[in-house]
Order: sequence, then C-alpha cells, then structure tokens
Amino acid sequence: MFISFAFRTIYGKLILSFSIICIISGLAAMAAIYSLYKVEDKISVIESFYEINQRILEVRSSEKNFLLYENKNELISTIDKLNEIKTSMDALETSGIITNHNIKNCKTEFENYYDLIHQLIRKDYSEIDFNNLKINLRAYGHDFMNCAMSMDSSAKQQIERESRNYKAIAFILILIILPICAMIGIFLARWIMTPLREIRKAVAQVMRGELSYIPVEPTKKICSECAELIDALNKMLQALEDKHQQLIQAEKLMALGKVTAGIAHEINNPLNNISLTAEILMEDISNMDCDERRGMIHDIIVQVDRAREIVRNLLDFSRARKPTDWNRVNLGELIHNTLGLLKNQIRLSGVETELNLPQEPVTIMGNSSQLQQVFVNIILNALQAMKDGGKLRIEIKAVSEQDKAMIEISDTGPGIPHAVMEHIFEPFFTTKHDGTGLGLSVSYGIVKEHKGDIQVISEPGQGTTFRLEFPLWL
Amino acid sequence: MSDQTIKLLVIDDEPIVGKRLKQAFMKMGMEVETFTDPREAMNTIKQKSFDIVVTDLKMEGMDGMTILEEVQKLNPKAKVIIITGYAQVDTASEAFRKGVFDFIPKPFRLEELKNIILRAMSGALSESNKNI
Ligand SMILES: Nc1ncnc2c1ncn2[C@@H]1O[C@H](COP(=O)(O)OP(=O)(O)OP(=O)(O)O)[C@@H](O)[C@H]1O
Ligand SMILES: [Mg+2]
Repeated sequence: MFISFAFRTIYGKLILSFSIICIISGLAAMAAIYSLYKVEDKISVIESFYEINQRILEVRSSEKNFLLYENKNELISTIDKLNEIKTSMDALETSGIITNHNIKNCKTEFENYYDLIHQLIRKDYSEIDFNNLKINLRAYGHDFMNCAMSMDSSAKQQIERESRNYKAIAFILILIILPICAMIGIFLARWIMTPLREIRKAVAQVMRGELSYIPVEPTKKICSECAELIDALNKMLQALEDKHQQLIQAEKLMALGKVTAGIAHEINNPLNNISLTAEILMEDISNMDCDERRGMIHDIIVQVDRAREIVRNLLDFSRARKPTDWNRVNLGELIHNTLGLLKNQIRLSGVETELNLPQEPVTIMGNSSQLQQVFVNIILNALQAMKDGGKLRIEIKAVSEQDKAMIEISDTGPGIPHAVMEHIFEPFFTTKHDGTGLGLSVSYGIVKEHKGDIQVISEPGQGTTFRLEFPLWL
Repeated sequence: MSDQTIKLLVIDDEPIVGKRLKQAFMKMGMEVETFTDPREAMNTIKQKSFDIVVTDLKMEGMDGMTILEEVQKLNPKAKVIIITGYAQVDTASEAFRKGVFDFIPKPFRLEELKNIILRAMSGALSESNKNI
C-alpha cells in the first residue's frame, strides 16, 4: 500500500528518500556515538593506568627507603597505596577492557608483592629470612612493576588498534552512504523531472497545434500529482478553447452587425414588393386579365424566394457550429453564398465585383461557417477600404502541384501603409473609429486552424490583396 | 386645368415599386414617371418639374439624400418623400432637417403612401391657392 503510494506520487517518493537518508544518517550517528563512548572508556583506562603507575613508583620509592634504612614505617605507608592499586586493578578487570590473562598475571605478581610487604611488617621472621625477604621484596617489586608496565603498554596498543578500527569503520560508512545518497538524489531528480519534462513536451506540441490536449496516461502510473496537474492544464485548455470559440462567435455576430443595412434591404425590399403587388392585385383584380394576374403572382413568388435566400444565408452564417464540425467545403460555393449575404452591402457601397472561379470545383476540408467568417471579414475590410467605390476581385485557383487551394480577394482601396501592415493581425488593432480590430485576428486564427496561410500584398495607393492558401482536398 | 394634374416621380432601383406605384397613382389621375436608375431620373428632374418625388434612399449610383437636395435646389415647391429599406433614426432626422416631406420605411402599405401623397397634394394645392 505504502510502496505503491511511494512510487506513484512525488510526495511519496520524497518521503521514501528522506526516510532512507534519515535511517542511514541515524545509523552513522549512532555508530559515531558508540565509538566516542568507547574512546571515553579507553581514556579512563589510560587514566587509571597512569594512576596505578604513579602509585607503583611511590610504593617502590618507599620500598627503596625501607631497604636502605629499614624503617618499617615506610612499608606501612605503602599499604594504603597498594590497596588503591588493587581496587584500580579490580575495576580494570571488571571493565573488561584489558585481556583477562594479562591482568591475572599482574594480579598474582601483585599478591606476591603485597603478601611479602605484609610479612615484613609483621616482623615474625628470623634475620636470614629477613635478608631473603629483602632480596625477594626487590625482585617482586621489580616483577610487579614490569608486569604493570607491560600491561599498560599492551593496553595502549590495544586502544590504538581499536581506535584505528573506528576510523576504518567511519571511512567505510562514508563510502557506503555517499553513493547511496547520490543514487537517491539522481533517482529522485529523474522521478520528478521525467514526468515534468513529458508535460513540457506535450504543452509545446499543444502550442504547435499537433495535440489538442495533454495525454495523462504515461505519467499517471509514476506521478499522480502530475496527473492532477495535467488534468488541471487540460481543463484550462478546454476553457481557453471555449473562450476562443465564444470570441469567434462574438466576432461573427459583430461582422453580421456591419451588414445589417444590406440584410435589411434584402429582406424589406422583397417584402415591400410583395405587399405592394398584393394590394394592387386585391384592388384591381376584377379589371385585370389572366396574364396580368399571373404575372403579378409570379412577381410575388420571385420576391419570396429572394427573401428566403437571404434569410437562409443569414442563418447559415450566424449559426454557432461546433468547431469540430468539419466537412468538405466547395470554395466556389462558399464564396457564392458569402456574396449572397453581402450582395446588397456591396451594391450599397457602390463597389463592382469581379469573380474568377475555375471550371472544376475547388474543395478543401474545414468548418464552412468559420471559413465563411474569414471571407466576410476580408470582404468587409475591402468594402470599408473602398468608401468611394472601386472594384472587388475574387479569384479561386487550385495549385495542384503544391496541393494547395488559393483564394485571392483584392480591392482597389488606398492600400495598407507599411507602419500599419505589421499590426493588422493583432487583436484589437484597428485604424477605424468604429472598428473592433478583431476581424483579421480572428480570421488568422481560423485560417491557422485549417492549416492554411494568409499573405497580404499591398502597396500604399495600389489597393490590397489578401491571398489565402489551404491544403487541397482531392 | 393641366396645371392641376399632379406630376409624380418615382425613383427606386426595385422595378416592381415603380411598376406598382405607377399603376396605383395613374388610377388616381396623376401623371407618373418612374426610374430605376437615379442618374437618369436626375437628368429628367433637370428638364422637368414634378410636384411630388418619391425616392428610395439607398441606390446604386446615387443617394436618395442627394436627390432630395437636388430637387429642392431646382424646385423648392416640390415635395420629396423618401422610402427606405433600412430606416435609421439619424438618417431620418437628417432627411427631415434637409426638408423631406415624409420618410417611410419599407415595407409600407399602399394606403399609407396614398395618404401622405394626398397630404402633400393638398399642401401643394393650398400653397398654389395662396399664391392665387
Ligand atoms: N483591405 C484593406 N485595405 C486597407 N486596410 C486594411 C484592409 N484590411 C485591413 N486593413 C487594416 O487592418 C486593420 C485591422 O483590420 P481588422 O479587420 O482586424 O479590424 P477592423 O476592420 O479595423 O475592425 P472590425 O473588423 O472589427 O471592423 C484595419 O483597421 C485596417 O487599418
Ligand atoms: Mg475588419
């Protein structure tokens, strides 16, 4: 349970790594404390040896005085010191720091020496014995001192050896811990960085338009936080896309707002014709011959068709289509419908139109409503540029060698000044007092979504040509 | 008495409007001329005076407003009625400022236009009466 948690989340991985590092460093610290403790013991041993040696020297100088002056008080004064030596040796023995057999040796030497001194103090011996005892006293004293000294030096050696061991252990610990920590560091970085790098790659792809969302699957198993992050990013992408679609739709309705005059004409004129014709027909029906009546009824039908046509175009254009609603689009037909929608607007602007369509239909893949929005925007810009009349030329071509469909929309307006040219596709850039500056920026977005391209050819004073290219659909 | 015949000029690029209005007002005893091309109408206005001019506002080639101005310059007594398929408050008020007799949005009822023309006629007649 914990293991899977640990391997699936950044949080778990961090906790796991830190616990490992904590355990290792805890062990190292314990080892260090243990060795310090040991070293302290050794120091106390060395101190007690120093003590013992000191006492032994004192005892032996008293012994020397006794042998010279035969003053027993000298010997009596050694008893306390000897007792001290004994308790120190006992303490050493129980501490177990010195090898037992060394200490046993010394203890017997000590006992001998100690007993001898007691005998000398007790005085119940003969003169010969006394001399023997004196010789022995020197020999035993010497032996005991030698033994104590050898014990001392061997203990010192042992302590040196052990402290060398501790040093070695410390080095080994470092040698083990360093690579472990380095490995944990490397793995941790890789664990955390790999999914993040994946996300960055996917985001770049989304920006290039190769992906529409960031895939969750590959990172889900190794990093559940990353999965959450991806989820949030995807939600944001969706929200942005929704906003983008809303912007496109809003821009479309604004474009419609600019052709209301044309549309109102195109609906009110036929209605007016119908109404007038019907009224006259009603008033005069009895005075008319059949042909005359039929002619007027025919007028009415034609006018209804005319109004229906513009309403159909209008609905087609204004309907919010799903951006995913892609179909084959016949460019000639689409331009025809667009001109149907704008016909009156063009006529009212006093602009002539020239339409060059190829014999064969030119088809591309796309969202016809959004493509029409692009044409409406560009044509409206052209009309707005030709306030005093001019000529609107629209040409559709299929460039088969490049598998491209090309649409050129040209006007004979004032052209676009160089300083303006670099900004025309920026959102909200406009040089018109009632413009929003969204027309071309939205159009650019739509064309890019269709894997197309827009080129603007304009010299000030020479008019402007917008050339659109889309991949042909064969 | 020929002076009493009201001369009506209808300018609209929708041919049906001209046709029907001609039918309707000839029956009322007026002299009606219709044009679908405003420039041709302009030429006629320069040669001949009309009592009432009914003109569309938005036409190819020339604006109803220009016709209004031109008619008033040539014949201040003529009454101009503007009909339009896209009536906006500011164009209407501009037209009234320029002295249009009335301004009606399309689609309109024949009755409506007849009434306005009758009003214009009585105005024209009373003015000419006053002059007498
Ligand atoms: N055919 C053209 N001739 C001259 N200038 C143009 C033409 N098309 C675009 N422009 C310039 O590019 C600018 C940006 O155009 P865009 O369609 O993005 O916004 P707009 O037309 O100003 O505003 P809106 O489209 O909301 O009416 C325009 O303001 C204009 O200066
Ligand atoms: Mg525009």
